[in-house]
Amino acid sequence: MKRHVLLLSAMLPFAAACGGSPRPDARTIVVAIEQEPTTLDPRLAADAYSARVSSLIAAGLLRTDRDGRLVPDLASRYETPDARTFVFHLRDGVRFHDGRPLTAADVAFTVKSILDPATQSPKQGAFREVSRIDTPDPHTVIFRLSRPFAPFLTAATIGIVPANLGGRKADAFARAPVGCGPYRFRAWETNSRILLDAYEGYPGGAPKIPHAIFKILPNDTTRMLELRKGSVDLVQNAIPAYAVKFLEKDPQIRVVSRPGINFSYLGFNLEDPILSRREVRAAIAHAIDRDAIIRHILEGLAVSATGILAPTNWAYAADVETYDYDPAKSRALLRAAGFPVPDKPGPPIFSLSYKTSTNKERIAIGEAIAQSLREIGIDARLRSLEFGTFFSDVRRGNFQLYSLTWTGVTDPDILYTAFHSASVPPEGANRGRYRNPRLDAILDRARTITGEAERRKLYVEAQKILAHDLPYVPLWYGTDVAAMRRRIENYEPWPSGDFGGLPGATIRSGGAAP
Amino acid sequence: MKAFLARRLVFLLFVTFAVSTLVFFFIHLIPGDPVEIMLGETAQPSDRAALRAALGLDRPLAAQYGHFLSGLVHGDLGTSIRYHAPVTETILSRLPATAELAGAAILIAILIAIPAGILSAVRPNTGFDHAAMFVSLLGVSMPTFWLGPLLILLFAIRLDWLPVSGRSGLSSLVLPALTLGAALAAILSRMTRSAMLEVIHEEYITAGRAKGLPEPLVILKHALRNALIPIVTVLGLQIGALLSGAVITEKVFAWPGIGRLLVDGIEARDYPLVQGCVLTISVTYVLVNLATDLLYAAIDPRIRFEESP
Repeated sequence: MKRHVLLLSAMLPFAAACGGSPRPDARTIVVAIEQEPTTLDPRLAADAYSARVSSLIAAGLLRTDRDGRLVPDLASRYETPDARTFVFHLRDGVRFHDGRPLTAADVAFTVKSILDPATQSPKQGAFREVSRIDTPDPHTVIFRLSRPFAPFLTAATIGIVPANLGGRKADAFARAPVGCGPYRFRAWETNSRILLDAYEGYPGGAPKIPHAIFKILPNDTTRMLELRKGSVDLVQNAIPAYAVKFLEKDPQIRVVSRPGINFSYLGFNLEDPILSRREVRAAIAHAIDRDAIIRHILEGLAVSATGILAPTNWAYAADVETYDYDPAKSRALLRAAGFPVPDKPGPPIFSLSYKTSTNKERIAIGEAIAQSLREIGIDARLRSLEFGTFFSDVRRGNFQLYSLTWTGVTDPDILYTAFHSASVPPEGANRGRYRNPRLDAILDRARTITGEAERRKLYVEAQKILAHDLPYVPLWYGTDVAAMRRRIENYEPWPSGDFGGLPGATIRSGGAAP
Repeated sequence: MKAFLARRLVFLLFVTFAVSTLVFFFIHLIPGDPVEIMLGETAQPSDRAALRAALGLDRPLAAQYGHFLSGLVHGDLGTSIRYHAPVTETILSRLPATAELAGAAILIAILIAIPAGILSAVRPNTGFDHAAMFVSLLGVSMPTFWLGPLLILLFAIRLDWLPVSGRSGLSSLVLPALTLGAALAAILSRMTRSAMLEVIHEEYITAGRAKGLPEPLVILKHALRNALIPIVTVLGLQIGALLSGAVITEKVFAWPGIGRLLVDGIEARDYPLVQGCVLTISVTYVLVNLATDLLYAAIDPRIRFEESP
């Protein structure tokens, strides 16, 4: 006993000296993120966290609102006289964080530098069609495209950087950027934290909480524990489904969720002799009990999907073919395709290799799907691979089945990237090698039209074709979940884990620490 | 002694060469492509080709290997693809964090394990011995990704004494060092106990006691010093395990060390960075083993590093 007292008293001054925990003050919100951004230069941001953090610093001509709609940001308005000409009028009196006024030259520089191969920008593809940029006056930018390209408006959300980076070197700028966005960059402690301050000059209004800290916490459990301790205020879309219910029980934590747009699917290789038959793909679609997976593995944090575009998308088609869980129908379809499946589960008639990443949740989902397929006589062999290897296999068509998720899709032109025959890798993301001339024609045409109603009609038709042809089995849309300390108020989760809700968040007065 | 050191230095050069060759080919042969990761899926083939050329990835593997080796000879590990910064600089900026963590873990392990092992050996099969060995069995069996969160729950959340994660002063070092040091302490205490038990029944110990030397002196001077050789051997070998175990501990505690740098580098297929990290870890390992060998001579004067005639 005496020894225990000694040990405790030896540790006490230590505990007192460090105060136990550095909890954020009433003027700072601490947000936990899973991965460190690789860059804060909006022109280079390829990974999710580079994009999420850099978009808070550098605003674009347009931005996407909470429903995925394009709205003016640094531009006060824009016109599209035809699908080859896009005119943006900049807001008056906008200044960069370093005090320099925003002009059309900055916009022109941003796009020209993206197109310069020396910049090594992953956004080159989005601006490929730009043939000329005119700046008739400091507040007007006109983009002229080499051919009609309606999805260009989505590209106009790219963060604007100052002309010639305000005299900074590109590498230095990527680590300490300047923009016109709601937050001003303060510091980046490598592999640890990124510190931002509210920018009063942001045309959309300064964030209500003066300071924001992004803490890089790669471990799932650690993120939860930091939130429970109160040294982190907010975690968004970075909590495993199983953990959400534990956090909901904590009286200090509020969990807010909202139907999301992140689309998970099962992809087929259409060059495979078995999977090239629609009956087999439909049989697989009918074999998967999506509701059971959503209930038991995803803890209800997903909604059954009909296609790549979510119901909130303006081009979403609700009236498409769907595939309910019906193993009997699966067996009938397989028999129609020439595979003699018995009515009772028996030895498999053929086997398929099914690739997925090493994410625990994905493996659990993969096992559930493989089990469903076994019940209709298909021996699905799940292989979990390190992400780089897995993704490389998917790109090269080295798979029969795979599952992945599209995140942050707002422009229906994604259908072109995912299903047009010109998008087969390495050109695009048609990884299943799906080829349909009728669909190609519709998607080509949709790019040339700027009228939303007419564009929508074409995309609805495309979605109907895809729902019938089944190059993917649509699985579900992941629900966006934000878990936060109770002191944080007015924070709303944004689609795909973007931090668009951050500027509007407030801290309850007098409730700094619990 | 000089000949011994010269031989070991040649050996070090050989290991460095072998490790860099293995790492170079392994990381280049596994699937995955840094250009794909940097440019994303929608990039045009011409852009990919341009970046590939800029990074020198379009050249034949043998040419890339030659370029890598010639850089290595000049002490240049290349430029990180992910961080756009020299690899040497990137690694050096993380090395202090890893060294701090490993050093603290070793210190904790020694402070716990040696006294526990000695006491167990001096009073074998007593309550203390059984308890200490049971706890050490637990220590060996507990994976760091489980022990870490457990310690956080107790000390950072329940007791609210220490921060959960991060690297902000001494208080943040305690939990990761304890997590990393636990397994080492467990192995070390078992090793100390068995080495001491062997020595304690030697005739010179009996002789020392017969001379009337005080018991602590017998144990600490005569017994411990003779038992140290196997203990130091295990310690030296375990430092390698410590560096690899640090990868997980660094992730759990968001510790900005070289282990996380390596894992992030592998995920991004950042070839130069991965080569640099593995090389750093393996050279450290070889140097630690050299230090262990030198320590043998200091502990046991009968060990001399001379060529036998």
